[in-house]
Amino acid sequence: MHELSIMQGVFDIVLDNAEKHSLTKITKINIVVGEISGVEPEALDFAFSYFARGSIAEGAEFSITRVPLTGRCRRCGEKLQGLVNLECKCEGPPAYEMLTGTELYVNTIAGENEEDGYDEAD
Amino acid sequence: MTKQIEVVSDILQANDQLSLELKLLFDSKGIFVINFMGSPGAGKTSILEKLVQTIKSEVKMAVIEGDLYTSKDAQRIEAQGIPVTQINTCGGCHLDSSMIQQALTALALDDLDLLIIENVGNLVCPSSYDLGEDIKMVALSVTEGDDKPIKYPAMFQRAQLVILNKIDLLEYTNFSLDHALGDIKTINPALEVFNLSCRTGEGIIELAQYISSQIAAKRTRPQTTER
Repeated sequence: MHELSIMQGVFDIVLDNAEKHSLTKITKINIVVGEISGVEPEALDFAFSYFARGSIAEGAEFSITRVPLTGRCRRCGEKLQGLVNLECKCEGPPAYEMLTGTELYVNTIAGENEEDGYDEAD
Repeated sequence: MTKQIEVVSDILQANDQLSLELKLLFDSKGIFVINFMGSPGAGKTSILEKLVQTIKSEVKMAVIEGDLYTSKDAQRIEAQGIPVTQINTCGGCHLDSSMIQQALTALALDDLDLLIIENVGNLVCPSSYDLGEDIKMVALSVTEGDDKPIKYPAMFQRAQLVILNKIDLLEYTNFSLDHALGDIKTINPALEVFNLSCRTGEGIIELAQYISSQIAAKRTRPQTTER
C-alpha cells in the first residue's frame, strides 16, 4: 500500500551508497522482500520506474528476491512452510517459531565508476 | 569499471532510527507509550473512550490521533477532557516516527504517564513502522471474522496485546474463539489477549488494570539514560 514511500527508502540507500563508492551510474539493484513484509512486488516495480526516471539509476535492472514465510517447531525442529494447517512430528500443534518472511532490505547494487573509464569487469 | 556493492540495508532504517530516538525520549521521561492499531471499524476509538473514562483520574495521559482526513476521532477523545493531538496522513496508510516527532511538539511531555497513539485503521502497513512505543496493541472485533490473525500475521506477530472487541456479539456471528486464539498462539505465543465489549463494559477494567501495571513497572524501572 505504501510502495512509493518504500521506494523512497530504497533510493535513499542506493544514492547514499553510490556517493560513498563514487558511482556515476547504477546498473543493478536487488532488494529482498519477505512474504509477510506487507509490500507488493508488482507495485514496487512500478514505483521503481517512477523514481528511476531522470536519476543515475534510470535504465537499471531492478530485481526482487522474494523470501517465503517459513518457520520451524521449537520442540521437534521440523521445518514448516506457511502458517495454515501446520503439522510436525509432535502430537498436537507445533511450537511454531517464524524463521523467514519479514525481510525488507536492499541487498546489492552494481554501478559504474567513472574514474576507471571502462566497463565490463563483473 | 562495474562495481558490485553488498549493501544489506534495511529499507525502513530511517524510521527505525527515529523510532529509537523517540523511545529514548519517552524512557527518559518515564512515559509508557502504546501504538494502538486495528482495522477500520474494529472499535479503536470506542475502546479508547472507555479506557480514558476509566483511568484518567489516576493516570496523566494524552492521545495522538492518526486519521486519513478528518478530526472526528480526535474530537471524541477531546470530549473526554484529556490532551489530544491530531495527525492527518492525507491518504497515507500508516503513521511513521517523523509524524509522531512533529505531533509531540503539541504535548507537555513532562506531565505525562501514558501516551496512546491511535494509528490509521489498517491491519497491514502500520505494523512495519515503529513509533518509539513500549507495546503494540491491536483491536480485532469478532464481526471481522476469526481468520484475521492468520491473514495478517505480521500485525499479530509484532503485537504484545490484542483486544477481542465486540465480544458481546460473539453468539450472533460464526467467529470461533478457538480458531482465532489457536492461530494467535501459533503466530505469537506470548501475545496477551483481552476479551472486551464497549457496549457492555466487559473487559475494560481488566485492560485498564493491565495498562496501569505497565505504567507503574516502567516508572520504577531504572532508566539507562538517567544513570
